[in-house]
Amino acid sequence: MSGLFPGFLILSAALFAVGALGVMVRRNLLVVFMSIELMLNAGNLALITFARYTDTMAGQVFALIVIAVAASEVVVGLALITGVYRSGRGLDVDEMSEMRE
Amino acid sequence: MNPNSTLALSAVALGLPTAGFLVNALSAGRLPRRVVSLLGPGVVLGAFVATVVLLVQLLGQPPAARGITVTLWQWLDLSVRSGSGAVAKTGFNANLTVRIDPLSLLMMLVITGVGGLIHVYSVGYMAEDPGYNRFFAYMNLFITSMLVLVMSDSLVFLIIGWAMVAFASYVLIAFWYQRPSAVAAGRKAFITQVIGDVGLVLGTFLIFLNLRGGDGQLLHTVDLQTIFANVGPGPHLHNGLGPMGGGLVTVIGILLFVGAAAKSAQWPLHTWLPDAMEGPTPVSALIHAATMVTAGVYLIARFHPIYQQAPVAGGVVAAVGMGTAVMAAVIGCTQFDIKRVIAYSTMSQIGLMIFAVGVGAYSAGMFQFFTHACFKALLFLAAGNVIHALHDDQDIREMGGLSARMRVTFITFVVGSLALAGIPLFAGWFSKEELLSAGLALGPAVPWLWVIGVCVNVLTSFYIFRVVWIAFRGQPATPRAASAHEAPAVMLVPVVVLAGLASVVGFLNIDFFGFHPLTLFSDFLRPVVGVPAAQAGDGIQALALLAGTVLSLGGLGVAWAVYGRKVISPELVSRRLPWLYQLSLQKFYWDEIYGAALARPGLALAARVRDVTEPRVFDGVIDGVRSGVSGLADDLRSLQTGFLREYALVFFICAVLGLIVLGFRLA
Amino acid sequence: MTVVFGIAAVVAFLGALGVVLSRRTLYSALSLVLNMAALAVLFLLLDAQFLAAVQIIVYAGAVMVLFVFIIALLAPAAEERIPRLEWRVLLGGLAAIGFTVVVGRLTLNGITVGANGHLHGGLGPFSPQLVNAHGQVQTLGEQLFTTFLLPFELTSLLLLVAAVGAVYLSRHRRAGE
Repeated sequence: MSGLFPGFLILSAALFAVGALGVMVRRNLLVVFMSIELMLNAGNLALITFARYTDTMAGQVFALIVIAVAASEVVVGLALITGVYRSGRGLDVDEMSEMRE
Repeated sequence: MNPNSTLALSAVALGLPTAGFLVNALSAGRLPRRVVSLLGPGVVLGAFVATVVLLVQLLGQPPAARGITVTLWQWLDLSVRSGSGAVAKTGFNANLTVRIDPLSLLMMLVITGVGGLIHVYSVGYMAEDPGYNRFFAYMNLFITSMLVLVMSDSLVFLIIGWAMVAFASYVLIAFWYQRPSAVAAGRKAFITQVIGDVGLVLGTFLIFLNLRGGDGQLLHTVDLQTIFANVGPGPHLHNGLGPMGGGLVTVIGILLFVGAAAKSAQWPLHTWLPDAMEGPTPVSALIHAATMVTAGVYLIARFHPIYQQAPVAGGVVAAVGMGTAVMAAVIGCTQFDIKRVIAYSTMSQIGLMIFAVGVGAYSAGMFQFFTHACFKALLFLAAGNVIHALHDDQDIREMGGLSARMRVTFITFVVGSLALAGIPLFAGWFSKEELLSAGLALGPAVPWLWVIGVCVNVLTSFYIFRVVWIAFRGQPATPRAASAHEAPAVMLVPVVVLAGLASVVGFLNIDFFGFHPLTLFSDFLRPVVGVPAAQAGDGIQALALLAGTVLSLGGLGVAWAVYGRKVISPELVSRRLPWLYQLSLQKFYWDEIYGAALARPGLALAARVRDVTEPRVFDGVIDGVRSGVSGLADDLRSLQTGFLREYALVFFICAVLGLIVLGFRLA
Repeated sequence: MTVVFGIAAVVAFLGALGVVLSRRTLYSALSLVLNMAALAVLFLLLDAQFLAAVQIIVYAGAVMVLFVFIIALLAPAAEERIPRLEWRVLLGGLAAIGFTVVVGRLTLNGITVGANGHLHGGLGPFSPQLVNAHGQVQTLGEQLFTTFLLPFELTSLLLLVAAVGAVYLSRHRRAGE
């Protein structure tokens, strides 16, 4: 099992990178949101890996809390997205450039 | 002399006029006139009282111990002190140290005494002027500045006082600032003073950087007493400022004299003095008779240890002084403005004083200063009475017959004139003859200086009695002159007091041509300035005395003949010797020369800078910065696209880069 | 063990790619569920049984269901072309690869595993063996209510806020509001 330690971490990094790629590349707001969830999961994996390999529970506790936070974040985020959709703006991220100078 | 009491009295003497100035200035003209009338003269007279007490204390000491230095304020001190406070290694300091010795006390007495009388006079003279409060504020500032200058034992504060005096003179000359001519005159005075300042400061730098002590080490000191103690030759080869008469000392002496010449209106820095008559008459009396113009004489007397090491510099000083004396006396003969005559007279008399200190007759020069302060201030104030009575008319051709209408003023003016002309038994006679005997003492083979001095005396008595006859005798030339009335008491009393002094003060020192029964004055100054040079032989001296006196009386006689009895017509000279007349009337064309050589090119340069350099260079730089920043901001703005994905990309890339950096640091 | 890891890892990665590359939003959501399931398996491999269960029940089971609901609700707008291959995509891909490589290097060089399979020698206080003696849930609960009490309380507050916020944000707006 000890030899798998790097594997877990590299997998976590790869999943995180894919999630980041999704945020940068996709135009659909919902898919972007899902990519963010993917990144959170990757983080969880790293946390639990370290918990396992340092013999503490802190990592697992932290991962649990992350799941709770992710859940609430999804709830609020989806409510917002629904609101955005209902205001007739569509769900294309590129159209939402009000922060432009 | 108790240092504590000296400290306290010096602080009072210096602090009272300062306080008067500050209170007046900071109240922004809102003090009632009555308060200012008491405050302005009061602080100066209070300072005079403190000075007199200091004098009494000083006289209580034996002559050798008459000199004390106290520190009023320790501002910045880089010297190294031992445990007891004594100086172990001298260094630069900017402490307000005060030297109370006969020379500085003499100056202080004149400044506060004559200054105080002039302040009292001004209460009457400036009574109708809207700038009354401002006037007294400036006058107090001037007194303060002069006191700082003469009391200071530190070169730093001497220079500070020097510059403050220049500034105070500027604001006082340009007092009636609505008049363009007054403003121009003030500016001229100030700019000339600044040229002198350059000389003084450069001289100071040279002293600071080059003076060495008894062990050959550089002293780096600005204390006058330390400087004077070490200027002379000593055991070490590189002692003092170099071998006696060496180049450096001479240069320093000349540089210091540049400063003195500017303050004392000596050629070539003399052109500001006549123009300075634009200021109110009390200002002329204070600045141009008693105090500021004598600062140059004081400087050379104070720095006599340096001039004793540099005979060449002393010679330059004497030559310039005598030359200016002659030139000014010639000019004074043809002027029609009463104040200008007196101004040129000042220039000439100061020239004689400068000559005296240049040849080493310090006591004679300072005695002349003392008597001159009395009778010149007297002349100015009496003239002020006349001007005031004639409602600011200063042209003597429009006066006449005033002796009947303004008796007291007339008498006092005559007293002053007698003193100025060196008529026997009046103050000026004693001081001038002492001066001339010093000139003769340079060697009977060199009587030229004495001859020139006598010529100056002749011209002096001529031009001043010319004024007496034209302005006071004869018939009134204008209705204004006919209706003139005597001045009020507040303006008469100071004049009378000064007249009394001018009559009596001469007897303080009878020491000329080998005849010295009473030498109170030079004894007083001896601890500071030492004994003057040797005298000439007895026979020649008596002859010189007689000749000089007779010739002065002769000048008076000529004036009487021309202007009183009208035996000879004054236009005779102007027709027979028109070039001489024009030279005199046009002040030897110095203003025109300076205008063409210095003023016009300077103004042209300034115009060029204003029209070309400023718009192109300065404005260009500022505009360039502005447009550069603006352009940069525009370029940066294009980063803000509002494009969410782009922002996310940038976040991620920076995070990766951060990780790389972190990785390198951990590895 | 290694085999299970390998399969789960591959499935997780493919699921992730599916999220990012699917044309239809629903397919993305389903790929994400697959990814989460694979992760649950990996959690099991790491002796975090309770968390594996939580992952399935809460994350895959509730959060993703919510996602699917919303996708169904917003269906017509949820279609999109495959992202064009523009410079941002390339740069992003490069950054992603770079990230992985960096982490990999850091991991392989900076952190080593001890001889007995743990990062620092010896059995720690919460080694799996000891935890198994009491049960994971109990141990986790003890930690949660003692050492990590503050984060726990804050998280519950957060859940409350989220619930209230969601209700508020999604209320029906009357015309003109």
